[in-house]
Amino acid sequence: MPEERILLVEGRSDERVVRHVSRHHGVDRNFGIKAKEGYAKLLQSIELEVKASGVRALGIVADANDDIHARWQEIVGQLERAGVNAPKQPKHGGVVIEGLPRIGIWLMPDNQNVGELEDFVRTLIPGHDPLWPRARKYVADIPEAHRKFKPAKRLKAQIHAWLAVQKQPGLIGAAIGEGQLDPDAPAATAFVKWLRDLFGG
Amino acid sequence: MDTETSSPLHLPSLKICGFRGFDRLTIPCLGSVTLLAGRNGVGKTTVLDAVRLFAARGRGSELSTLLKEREELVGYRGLGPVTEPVPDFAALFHGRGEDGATTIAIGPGPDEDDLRLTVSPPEEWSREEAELVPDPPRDVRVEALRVTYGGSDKFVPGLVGHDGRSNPLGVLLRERGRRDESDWPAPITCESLGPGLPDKDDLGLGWSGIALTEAEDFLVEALKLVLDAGVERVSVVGGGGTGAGSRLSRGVIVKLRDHARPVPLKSLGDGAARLFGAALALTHSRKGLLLIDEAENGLHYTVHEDFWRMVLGTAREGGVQVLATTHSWDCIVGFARAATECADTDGVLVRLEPGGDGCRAVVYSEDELQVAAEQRIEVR
Repeated sequence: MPEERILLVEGRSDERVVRHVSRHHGVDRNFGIKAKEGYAKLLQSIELEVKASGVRALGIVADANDDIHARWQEIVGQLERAGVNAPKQPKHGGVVIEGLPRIGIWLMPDNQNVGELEDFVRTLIPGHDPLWPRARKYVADIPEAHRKFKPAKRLKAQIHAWLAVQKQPGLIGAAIGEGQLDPDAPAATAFVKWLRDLFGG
Repeated sequence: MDTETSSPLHLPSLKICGFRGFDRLTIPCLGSVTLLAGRNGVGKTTVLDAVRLFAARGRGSELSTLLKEREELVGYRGLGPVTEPVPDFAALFHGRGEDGATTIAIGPGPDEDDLRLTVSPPEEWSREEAELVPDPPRDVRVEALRVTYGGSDKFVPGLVGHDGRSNPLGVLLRERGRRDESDWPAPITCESLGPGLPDKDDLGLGWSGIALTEAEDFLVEALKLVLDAGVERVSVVGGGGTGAGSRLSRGVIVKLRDHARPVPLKSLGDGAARLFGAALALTHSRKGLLLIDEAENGLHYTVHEDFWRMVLGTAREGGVQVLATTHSWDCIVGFARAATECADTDGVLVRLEPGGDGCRAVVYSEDELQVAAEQRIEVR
């Protein structure tokens, strides 16, 4: 049987974060996850995933990046090609559009601000975490001339520096599973509420 | 084969009303080659049957043949002493006539381009038509089929009605005298390939129409898709015999490079027989329609792309519109790849699914199919 409830995400990192957060809250069995190897492929597949046979609920998780409204318009445009009318703009707590299939849209990190998965993950790092200041300092200490990343990717660099010194270095999902990230942080619970609204459970 | 300029499709779209499982089905877009997908029992083969009747312009002979193939027969005694199996016309109508459906419409639309089959009561018959209907048994309310297409109005002297116990009844009775159908609207050439292996006599007969033409080479090339390059020649033997009093049925034989004597086609496996049958049907359906039920049957997954390349290329060159059904993901992936490559032949996939007031069609373009194949998005 094809999956009736599907969550589309940009890549493996998104998949791992969603899987661990949803598992912590007991909703991970309500849906399957398709990691799309990048935003372009995710966007390209939206119309087809809506048209796929037997789909009852379809969620879309994408990064807002540096222009949340442009990204929203791109996603909504693909949905309209599949006959789905979406709101003109994202809303706090994520969007759920009733119909068959029911459609959900969540723009990382919080449907309101620019950013990406790493901004969402940043909000899950506990305030007392001793490694986070070190990761920030590590990135900050790199001379401007030696930085390969663009200024807008500074937080991403900090998060991956932080992940590099966890128990299983570099694994974003493991960081949640092992308690280094807080799956009960407000951002995570808001995301889980959206998952419940979309997929039930 | 000669290259045709792209001719308009016989069926750029398809509407089926009141036919077998379909109350109403609209497929808004068909391609030069259309693949039909959907779950078991959703009506893929019924679409092929509807197209076949449309191509035959509803000829009574084709109605009977189709019903016999579908084993839609009822025992009918009539006025004689013997009960005979006869085609059950009621089975053509949605709900088998039990829900009051009395009209079938098949065609691309608008309505004037449709083939229509309507139950016709005796008061509508002309004197000549009435004479074609044999005397019915007592207590049977007699009706007939009226077939209209493109301004033509034809009478099929079957009986559709109810017996004395209100049981639906639809039979084709033996006509009074043979009825010539040559005055019907010209049919569209239409070849059908069923889900099983083609009959060897049919293959032999089909071969006789193309022997010693350039189509021979095409069939050899088709066989090479599953038999590598070892195929040298193809021919047909039989219809006679070598021994005293023996008669061999017609059969296709293949000369392989590494074998001194030719071998029967069917000894080379189901894939070879299926491919040969498909290639033969393609050559015989020039400027017409080709219907393939369960296109994946007999073919290894590695062959699908080449198979569809052959079908798409020949459809373009011969002006053939192809409709095929499938359940196979490999078949769809092969179709998507070949259709994308074959830029001047439009391939379309249509999934039939329950919805709304019966059945709806979800159409996928070549571009969409390519993305679906790459990302393994379910389209069946």
